[in-house]
Amino acid sequence: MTDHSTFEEMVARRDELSAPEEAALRDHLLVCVACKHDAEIYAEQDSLLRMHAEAEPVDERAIVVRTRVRQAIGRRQTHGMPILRHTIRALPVAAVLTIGAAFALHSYLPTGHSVARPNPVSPTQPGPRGTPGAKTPATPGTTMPKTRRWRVSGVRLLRPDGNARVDRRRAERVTHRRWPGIHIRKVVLAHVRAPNMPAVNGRLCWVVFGRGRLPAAGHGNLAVFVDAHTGRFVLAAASQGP
Amino acid sequence: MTASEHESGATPDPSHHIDGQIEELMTHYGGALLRFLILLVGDRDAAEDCAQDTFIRAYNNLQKGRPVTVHWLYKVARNRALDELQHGRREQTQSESLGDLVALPSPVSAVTASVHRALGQLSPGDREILYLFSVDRFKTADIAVMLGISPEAVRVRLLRARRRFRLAYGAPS
Repeated sequence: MTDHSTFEEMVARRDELSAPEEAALRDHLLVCVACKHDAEIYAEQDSLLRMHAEAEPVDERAIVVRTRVRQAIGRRQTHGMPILRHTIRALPVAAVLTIGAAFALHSYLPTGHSVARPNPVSPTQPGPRGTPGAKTPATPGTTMPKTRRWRVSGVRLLRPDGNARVDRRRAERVTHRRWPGIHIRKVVLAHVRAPNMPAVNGRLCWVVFGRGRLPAAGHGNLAVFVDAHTGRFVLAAASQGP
Repeated sequence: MTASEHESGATPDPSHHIDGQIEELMTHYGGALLRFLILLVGDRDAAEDCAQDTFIRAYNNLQKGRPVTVHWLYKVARNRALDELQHGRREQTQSESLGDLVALPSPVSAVTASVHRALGQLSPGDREILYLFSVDRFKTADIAVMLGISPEAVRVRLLRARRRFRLAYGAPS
């Protein structure tokens, strides 16, 4: 003999009942108005929940996840091949040396262009070479001085003047969402000085450097600026570094 | 995804290469797993991260020659989501009430919005059990494996979740 509470529990999982259980429940529903009402309500619940689930578009996100997983797996497979691994490790070094040489050459050209360009004003950073009050001259032949300064399409990145409210992972996620397939190389927190780019000028940003597809220019280096307070994407720029 | 798929296609074909197996898993379960995670953690970005970690762990398992079943996927995804929720609590980046689900993409029907609101009033535990049974159509025995509890406990939890959802949705009692 099955009691009422057992039927209540069976009504809640009616989709999976065996044939004998379903037959017993059906007999019970003929005589129990409460359980019959429950059965109707739960059937409606199922259709409502399925409708709700379908309202959430996940196809694009599933593609993003697949891409990220493939990249992670691909990186691991690459790391398992010694020759390729050393080659890939050597590539950034070669790139840094090339950029360093270019910067050094650029700094010493007698055109005055690079000397005349104002450097960021920061109490924690050395001033421009030859400027009165400069603490330390940039070392010739190095890519960048040991201060936290980078050049990104004319944008100056200064030492952060506060704490970020969103973490670095969030910035990376935002970047991955904007640029599925981007290969992130470095992420820095910086106070941005960019008079020509009001959107980022004066903001504390996570700056995500990576290599990815640029509009109408194939693959290239880019820097993605994510607001360090709100976690929102601000803008992306073609990048020379770091 | 149907119940029959859960029964027959849970374990990938071992003859396939591991890459093929992980692709197959992502193709079959990627969307459903993401929906489940979004419902659970209430944050689409965090759900993406959880799904990504789950499939990478699945890949590691396959590499070690261990089988990856749909139960395993959901179990790992759920644990990862719970970690994410706890992390969110610690950082207080989540809203105080986990019932505040992520906003639905517009436009949605009024009915869907009501369901969303009702789900938002439930605990993650109630949401997950309703989703697994009603949307993903897992049997209570399968859910028991995923949650690491007995089938009887799943049935009790399902009945309670249904009652709470009914109250939250405002169905006549």
